[in-house]
Amino acid sequence: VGRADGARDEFEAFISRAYLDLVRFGTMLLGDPGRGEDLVQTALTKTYGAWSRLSDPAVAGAYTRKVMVREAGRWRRRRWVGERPTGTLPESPASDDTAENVADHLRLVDALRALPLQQRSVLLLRYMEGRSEAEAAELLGVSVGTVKSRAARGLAALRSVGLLDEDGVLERD
Amino acid sequence: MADDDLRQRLGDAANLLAPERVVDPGSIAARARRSHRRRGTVRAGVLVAAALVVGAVGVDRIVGSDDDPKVETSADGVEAGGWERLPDGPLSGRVGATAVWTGKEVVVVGGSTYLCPPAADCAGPADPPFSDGAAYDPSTREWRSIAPSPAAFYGEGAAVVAGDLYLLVSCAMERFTMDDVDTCPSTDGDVAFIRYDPDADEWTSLDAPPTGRDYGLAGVGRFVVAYTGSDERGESPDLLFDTESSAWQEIPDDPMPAVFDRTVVSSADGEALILIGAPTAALSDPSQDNNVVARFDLAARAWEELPPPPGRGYRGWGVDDLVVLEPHFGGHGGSLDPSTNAWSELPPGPDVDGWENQIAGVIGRGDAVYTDATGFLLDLTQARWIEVAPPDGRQTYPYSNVTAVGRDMFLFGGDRWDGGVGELLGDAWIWRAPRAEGEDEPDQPTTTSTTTPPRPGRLAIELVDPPGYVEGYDLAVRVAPNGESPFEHGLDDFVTDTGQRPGFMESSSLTVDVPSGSVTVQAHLTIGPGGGPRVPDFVDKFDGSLCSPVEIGVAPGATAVARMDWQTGCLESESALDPAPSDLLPEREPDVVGVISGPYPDEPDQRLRLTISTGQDDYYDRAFLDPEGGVIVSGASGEEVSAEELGRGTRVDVWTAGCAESAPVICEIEAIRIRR
Repeated sequence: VGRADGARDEFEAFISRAYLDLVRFGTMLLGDPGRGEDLVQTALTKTYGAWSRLSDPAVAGAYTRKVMVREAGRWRRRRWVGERPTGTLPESPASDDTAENVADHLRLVDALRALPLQQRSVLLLRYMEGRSEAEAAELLGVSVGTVKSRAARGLAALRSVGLLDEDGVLERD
Repeated sequence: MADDDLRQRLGDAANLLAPERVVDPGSIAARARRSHRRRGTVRAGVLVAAALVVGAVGVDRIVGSDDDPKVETSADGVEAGGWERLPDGPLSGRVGATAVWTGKEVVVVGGSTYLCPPAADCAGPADPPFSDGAAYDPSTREWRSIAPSPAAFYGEGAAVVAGDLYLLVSCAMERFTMDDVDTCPSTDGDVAFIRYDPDADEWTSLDAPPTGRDYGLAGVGRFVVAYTGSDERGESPDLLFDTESSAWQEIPDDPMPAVFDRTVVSSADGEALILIGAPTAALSDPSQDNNVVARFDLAARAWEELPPPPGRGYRGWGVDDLVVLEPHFGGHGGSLDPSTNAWSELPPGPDVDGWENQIAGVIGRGDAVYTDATGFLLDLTQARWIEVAPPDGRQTYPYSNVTAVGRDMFLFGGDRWDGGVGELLGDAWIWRAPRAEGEDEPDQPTTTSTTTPPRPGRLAIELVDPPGYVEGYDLAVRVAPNGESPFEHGLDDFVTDTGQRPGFMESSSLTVDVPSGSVTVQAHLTIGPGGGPRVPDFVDKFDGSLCSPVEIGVAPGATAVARMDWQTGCLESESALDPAPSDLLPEREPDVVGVISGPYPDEPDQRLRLTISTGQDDYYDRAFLDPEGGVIVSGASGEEVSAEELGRGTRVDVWTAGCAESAPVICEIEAIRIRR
């Protein structure tokens, strides 16, 4: 079963460029780095299958994220990947993180994880990846209005647990 | 400012959880390619089988271009009556057994205990594969054990010639692991070429092919064709095994350039083989990316080049008198009539993202080819694509083997996951293909089906914080169960815009009966101009939906509750749904398995008791089972069941929350699940 060597090279180049960002997205989407990486790997399988249509890296990145959001929804329905608490700190936090910062970050991760998947996806695309409302709408297959309403609700939820103040600025402990 | 702050914090959190590290894109890409390949290329022999069993109709969700692509696969086939469970056979649960229809029986042999959760990356099986087998006769609905195979294997395809099975076990190792699937062709593992004669119940070890080990097999006339899948590493001859003389011979070099994606299909009369490939030149020159096709006449030992198909395809399948080139990887494929050498176009694929990587078979008028119980089937009889999903939500990827029995699909075993616990399945099922146009009403099965139609469920939609009064505003909810056409509910149910109380919210909830399964819900809003200030975001006439359809799973007998924003009609996520009993079951293994043995007439308290199954801890024997007071009671598929359904003779899994020492023991029952 052959595939074009050129396509293989392109696919590897795409992974080389995009993998870490995809893992960050997957990690924050599921609140767990291991599952985030599994999610990326699963999505890349589908990306590879559709590679003939996706040779533009920008398209491939959006496609992979789209698959990730969809797969994340499916994984939620499977108990074997039930939500796991992240009560323990990673062994090697970034060196410039104080313990308080780490706790802040984990509080944010927990609050995100408590959000419905679609709101979480919108917040990550809009605010972590800096995508426009139109880009997020296109990627999630929803209207811009839906992106707006989901973002507003997500931000409101973060506000309700004290992670954002009324002006939208993050509160810190 | 706030955006920047949030962006910074999200980025920091992502850095904390997913710190940057060195990755090897080559190995990640290879895993993706390998997973994709396993998903898409279950190797299977091509069978041209007589139509023997044509049973009750069961049409799975039909996927057309107008369908909602967001509706995902579920076990809809069960609900539609498509799958029928067959009597249990003698084999233990397993994945990757080879199931082959001989024209008289389905022979099931080999397989593995390899359990790997869905979408997980597992190291490989710990146990060697199986060599035992059994055969199922659909005409008598009976199983028989067969002699064990001289080679243990799993995930292998087979060819059938004159009712005998031929298998090329390319990794006949003493201890075979998942890694060997990929490395075997370059390792020292043995190659076993074996034949099973069902009439004599006898296996024979035959001479292995003289060259190479990585062949696909196809039965053509009295020959077994062993063909290579690609010329990318140099061309090597294809081989013929003469089943009468038990001798191998090379097939003369084909007229094709070097090709990959090579597959061989028998002509319907068995007098020729059709070879399909794609030129390796296309790997560097996309303009050459089409298939090449040739026919080899067995009697004349001569090749003939055939016209190319109308669209790019992947595997060739023989069905009816045609050769179907399936459009894997997003091509268009085609259908070849070997009697005229004319190609026909296939119906367009479904408008479902990724369908082209999930092609699972083709259904003709008299027979079919199936390679998976999960995916999309080309129904040639009605020029359409059908989506099929396996029973029970089991995994068929990549192991559960299927075979065509006439036009129907036989499925054996697989694995099912619940609460992080995987279960190897040893059951057998048949999926009844939709009747071909003009086909007579089939005979009903002579024995009672072991499956019953699942119970319907209910969907409750509750508006979140609805106002008491709103003018110029209507909200309707369109509910489409299992991909069917939507039915509109709720217009005027929520808001009265006529009569004596215009504008008053009459109700904040709506409950509808729906079939269990996957239900798609979308709100439709009508907001008129001059509706007053109570719909603040809309000043112009609006008639449509603000939110995408949402898919909701409804368990049999359960009520799924969805919360809807009254103003936008957007549904909150699935987290708002009532959990099914299966979601509530403890994630650990049951504490004890047994059969309900009470109540006994002579006992005054008339309580249910548990008689433990063989091999269980006798500490629990005759424990009281009182399914009351918050005890979770689940059906075999996780559906809601009432305590009244627990009766004498019911096989159950039981979880306890602690027991008091007594005889018999008295336990606080945490959960009970009915076993099949």
